[in-house]
Amino acid sequence: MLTKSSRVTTKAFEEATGWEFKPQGACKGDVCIPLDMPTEDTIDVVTTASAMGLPVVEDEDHGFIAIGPESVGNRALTSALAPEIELPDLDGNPFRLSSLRGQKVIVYAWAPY
Amino acid sequence: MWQALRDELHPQGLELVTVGLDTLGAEGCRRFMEAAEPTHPALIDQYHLLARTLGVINIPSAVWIDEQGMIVRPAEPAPAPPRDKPQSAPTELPPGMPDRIVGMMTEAAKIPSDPQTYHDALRDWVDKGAQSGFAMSPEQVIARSRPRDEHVALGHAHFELASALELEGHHDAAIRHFRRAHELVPDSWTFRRQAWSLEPGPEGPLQRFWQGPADDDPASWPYEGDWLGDVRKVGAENYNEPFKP
Repeated sequence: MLTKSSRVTTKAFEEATGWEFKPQGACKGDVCIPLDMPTEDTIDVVTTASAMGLPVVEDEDHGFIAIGPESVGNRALTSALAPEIELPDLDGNPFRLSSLRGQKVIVYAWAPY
Repeated sequence: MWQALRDELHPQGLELVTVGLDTLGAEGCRRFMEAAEPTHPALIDQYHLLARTLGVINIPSAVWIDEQGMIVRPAEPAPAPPRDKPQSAPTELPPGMPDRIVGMMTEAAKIPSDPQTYHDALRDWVDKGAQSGFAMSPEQVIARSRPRDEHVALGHAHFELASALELEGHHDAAIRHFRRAHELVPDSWTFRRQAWSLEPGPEGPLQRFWQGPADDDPASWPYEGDWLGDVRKVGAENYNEPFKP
């Protein structure tokens, strides 16, 4: 996830990273990283990410904080449950992959270069 | 070709979602997407979310997801559907093509591709679902997804930061983080191809395909590798991993 603010709402953090705060920790699918539940509506991004073992890169010149993905299972996927992916179409309308539940889906990655 | 395949298999419950991975977003993808006239969801991925969330390392590649939202095949090379009639191979390239482009097309022609096997497997899955021998268990899916240690994870953070810097117009700062991403995620072709494509190539339609130093100013190329050099180094036959049932 990318942010220019050192504090974000827990909801924004959950949506951007795919990790959900639960009593047992930060969870994705069946995998949980032990963590104290946030007690406020907002959290410190760097502190939380570091406590979860997520990589943090800061660019102080331009004010960006980038949080990388987890590597807990040493694989790109920690769960076979497809992550929620929301991306825009050509007109900027957001589309959620989960809206296709009930169909088989092939997600095809291409690039114009 | 994918559009025709989607239209054929859609009545059997398959949907195709195409995702263009490009920092330049709609500006970079529009020409190709409008030409394809998609009837399926066609999305744009400026920050390579598919790399981070699904482990996409090259294009074209694809992920299969079943009706319950379970991934049954992780990201892997996905060749275009086979053609009914074999394409007649061009015997020679148009005259006046720059040496770099001739070299790239020569290497690209050596990259092995087996669309028949891949698409037979896809049809088998569409037909049989979980009973298909090509649908993997959740454990297999995770094990077959890309390796990701803490260096790779850090590389993804650098790549996302580089993308944001590029989009804010800080090109030189972006290059620094793209370079770190390349060091930390050496198996990602998309991370490299994306960064290379953002360098000023020759004017015209070849610009983003140039993917290497300018002939008249090679010293200003800011990256360790380039498409032609890197493909020659690993060997075109190793550019894609072969399809494994």
